[in-house]
Amino acid sequence: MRRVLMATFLLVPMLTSDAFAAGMDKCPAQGGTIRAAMAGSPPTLDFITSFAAQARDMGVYIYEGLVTIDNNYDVAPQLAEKWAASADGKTYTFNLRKGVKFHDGSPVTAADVVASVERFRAQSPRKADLSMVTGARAVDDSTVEITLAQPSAAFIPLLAYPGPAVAIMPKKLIDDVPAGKLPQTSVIGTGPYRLAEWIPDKHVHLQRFADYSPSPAEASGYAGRRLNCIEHIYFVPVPEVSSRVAGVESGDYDYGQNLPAETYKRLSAAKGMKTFILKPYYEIVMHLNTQNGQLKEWKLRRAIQLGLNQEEIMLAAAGDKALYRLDPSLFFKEQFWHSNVGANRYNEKDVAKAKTLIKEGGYDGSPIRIITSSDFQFMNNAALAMESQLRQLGFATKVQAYDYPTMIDIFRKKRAEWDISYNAFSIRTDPGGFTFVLKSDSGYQPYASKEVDALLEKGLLERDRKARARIYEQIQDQLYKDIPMIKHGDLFGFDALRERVDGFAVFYTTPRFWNVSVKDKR
Amino acid sequence: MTRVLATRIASLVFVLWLVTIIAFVLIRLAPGDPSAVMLGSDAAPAAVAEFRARYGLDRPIVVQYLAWLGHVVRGDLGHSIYLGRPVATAILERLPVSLTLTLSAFVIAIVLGVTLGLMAAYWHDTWIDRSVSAVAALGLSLPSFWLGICLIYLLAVRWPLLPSGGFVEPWRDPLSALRHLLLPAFALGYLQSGLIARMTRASMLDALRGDFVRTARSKGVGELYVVVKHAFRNALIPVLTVSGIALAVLFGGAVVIETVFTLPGVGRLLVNAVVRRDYPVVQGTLLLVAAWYVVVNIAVDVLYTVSDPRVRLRAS
Amino acid sequence: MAVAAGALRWRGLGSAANLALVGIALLIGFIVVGPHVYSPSPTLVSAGARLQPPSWEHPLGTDQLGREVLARVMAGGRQSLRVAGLTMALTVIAGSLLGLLAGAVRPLDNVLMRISDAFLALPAVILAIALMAVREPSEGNVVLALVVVYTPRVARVVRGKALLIREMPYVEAAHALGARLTRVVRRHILPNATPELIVQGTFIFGYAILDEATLSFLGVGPPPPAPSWGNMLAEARYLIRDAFWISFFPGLLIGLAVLGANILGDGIRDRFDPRKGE
Repeated sequence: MRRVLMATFLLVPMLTSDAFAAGMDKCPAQGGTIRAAMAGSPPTLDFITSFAAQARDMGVYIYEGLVTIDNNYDVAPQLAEKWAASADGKTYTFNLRKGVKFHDGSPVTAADVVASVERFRAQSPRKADLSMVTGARAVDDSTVEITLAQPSAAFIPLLAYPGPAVAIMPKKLIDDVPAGKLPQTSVIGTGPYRLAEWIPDKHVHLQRFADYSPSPAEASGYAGRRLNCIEHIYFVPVPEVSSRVAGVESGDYDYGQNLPAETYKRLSAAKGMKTFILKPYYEIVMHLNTQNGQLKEWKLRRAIQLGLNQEEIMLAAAGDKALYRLDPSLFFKEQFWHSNVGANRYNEKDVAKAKTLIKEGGYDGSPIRIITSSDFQFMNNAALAMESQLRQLGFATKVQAYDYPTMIDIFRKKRAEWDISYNAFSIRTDPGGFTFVLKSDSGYQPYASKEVDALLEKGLLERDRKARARIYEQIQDQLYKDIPMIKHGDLFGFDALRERVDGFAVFYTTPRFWNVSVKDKR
Repeated sequence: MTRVLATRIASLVFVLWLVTIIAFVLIRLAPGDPSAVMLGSDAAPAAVAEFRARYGLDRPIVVQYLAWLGHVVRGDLGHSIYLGRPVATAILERLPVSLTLTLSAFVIAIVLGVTLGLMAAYWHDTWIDRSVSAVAALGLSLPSFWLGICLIYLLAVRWPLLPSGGFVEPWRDPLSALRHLLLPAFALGYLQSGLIARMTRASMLDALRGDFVRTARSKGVGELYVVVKHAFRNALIPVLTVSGIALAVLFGGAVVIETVFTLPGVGRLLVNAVVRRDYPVVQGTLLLVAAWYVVVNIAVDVLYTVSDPRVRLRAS
Repeated sequence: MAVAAGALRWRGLGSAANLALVGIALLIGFIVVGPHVYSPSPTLVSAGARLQPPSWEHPLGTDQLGREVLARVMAGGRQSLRVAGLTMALTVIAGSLLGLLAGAVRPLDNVLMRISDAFLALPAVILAIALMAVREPSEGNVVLALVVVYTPRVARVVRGKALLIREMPYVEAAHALGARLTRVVRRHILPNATPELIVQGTFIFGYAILDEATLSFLGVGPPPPAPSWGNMLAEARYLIRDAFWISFFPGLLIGLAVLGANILGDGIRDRFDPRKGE
């Protein structure tokens, strides 16, 4: 007999109220156009194959998954109206909502879900998150069964994680389509907006899907009742920051994504505009090369950990006191998983002790090679601020900035060329999301620790929430001891919106233009 | 003359061919290839190998080049790896933007440049000459993106008179298109106008001092008539040459303006393609841009001979 | 070399060009001597002191990382002028070599000119970006890229002069008397080409400063944290409204330096060719 393990997540009360018209049943006004100036364009239309935030931010309009995340970054139902695990925890049965249609009018069936999950497991760079899955099958037209190799508390949360999401697409359009080969006409999902046109580097044009079936629950995060009141949405890539700011100020765009901190005060006070702080956004970390180069020597890493003034670095990176906070944990304060274990080694600012350790560590005077990305202003600034402090401590340094893909390439594949590499982590809704980053067999970073590996495996299997939290605390502690990474702090972002848009609230990094309306008929 | 022109065209086609080789080789020298961009650095080696085979990237470079050349001669510029559409389509989508921008900037450059040059020449060695020359020289001294951003700040934000960027098709909404075009075209054109002004001033001064102008003046002909009819026509040739260079080169110079004003033109297409290692787009677009350069040069040469029959076109 | 030496005899280049020459000399002096007089570091990050407008303590203010703008302007000037100077020197040398070869050795002319035409047909910015993609962004590689872009232009000019001189009667006479090619080049072609070379050189100096700024704008210029006028301008371009001083001063200096180079070039050209032919 199956014991129904209902996701307790559903019963967790919403801790923050959604400024959105959460109880909205129908749109106050239909129609209108919104033009959003975005920081970049999605690199591909095959959204499940991309980690890029732009792919996620637009994908969420077009696609839906079995489950998704709510305001608290916890799991919420989307295309699955309920799910249950078997007694041994190795089989999950999902019941699909009835009457949901794809953008091309065809109904969503279990076969489509199975095909989408299988394609994700084959083609998506995030497939390691679903490594515990052994198979998926359609029990009937509206029931899907997914089997796991062993029980895992991380399975459902990782299924719900939106970056990239396990998007449900029509089987007939995705069968045998290799990664990167999905044509524009096959970008069909169940979301409130369909892809009307994508001209790369010009715009992504979304149009309201008239036959959309919203979820019955209240809107929260990416989940719940998403009403597509706006008729047309244009996501325009405006990578030039000054043009993005100017565009929102002059009203050419209704929304400006990711604006520079120096404009925060001015735009917050400006007429006709509202600013929103995106919190949490990224945590800024630096990886230290534990296998090649001078930082192999633990004493030197400890010296860096001892000597850094994180306040200075975060202020330089964030640009405004309102746009960052210091925090030692792998997880954000807003999350259940947050912990201060190991915090005694965070932001110690002990320059004298650091200098002594540098001598003891046998530093030979050759430059510490730092790589960062010029694509992200905050990352660039953090690197420069940190590098300046390293020089005060007595290190010689060399900074190189690259575009993000090149930097990642050097970080992953050219281990002999860097000592410190910058990175930014966005929220992991489930701590299991850190497995790929920290586990030695993934090869993501040079660090390899048997203790951490073992803890990570335990963390994926443990089903009690509190026990899991303790496991990840131990991991955090070990990281503070081994020092393969040093976290600087939490960075917030800010976006600006013109007042003609009503009912808007930020969530995560995505501007949500559902459940909003515009005051004029443009 | 036609035979000489034919030789010129032949040598320019040869130049085009050289351009294709340079473009082909250069982009492949850059580290990384499209598979890294498209599949990300997490991709399994099997996926990467399959990707490279699919796009013919695993064949020897000479084979790849000949294959590409074969397609080009038949009118097929290839398929963009990143954009998922034919290169020709990608270029055609952006051509209206680039052409509109280039031609409007060119008009502004000529109008501004010739006017300033004429003023400087006519009132040469006076304060007018010096201040006008200074304005023209300033155009050559400012970084184009700097000028663009200042213009946006002044005329789109501080005093919101004009849009801050973007492109509107002229046939859809002429007035809006004009408003969107004004700042970028001016920023691009002003920079070129300096060169044209300098040339105009120099050749006008030459012409004004020439014999036949003195003769005309001594015959009692009106001042304005002298200036316009004789001097200007003689000053035309060098101005034409410089203008030709300016027009031919505007496509490349437009890259920066396109970035600042968010104009989806050919320049940005090219820069993005280089960064993304989108080989077919880089090769195809460079071919087209070089062809434009060549065509403009031929046109200038033809106009050169037509406007002054004394000039013999030397095959060099 | 007699002609060149005669030019340098101080008959003056015309008031504007003289002024420009003095201005450039002052600029170079400011940059070379300045750091010895004014000590703050151009790369010390001090987040607490960010975005300070010009004041007694910080004459040109501080930037978004709290770094001293005056110090950066001086250090940046060094790098920008170094890039421009190196580019000018290397381009003049390479361009002359190619131009002389093409002009003096007939069979090489066609080949060299076609190749240089091919490079000219490629938009300068794109060529520079592609070259920077092939090699990583650094000061040396920026110089390399700019040299590749400008050499065909200089080669063309030198070749033109070489061809012109070669046709002159006295050269043909010398040739008929058995003078070797190198002698002809040295005694006749080079001295005649030199003034134009100097003019081109000054213009290239100016263009190089602008191009370094443009390459920094496009993200492939000399990397941080070492400042150059170009990358200061590029980094602070979104702060024109909120902290204009960070980009205003480097921008001003770029404008002045390039303007000076242009005026100087014009002046030298006027001096040697009063008819101002091209």
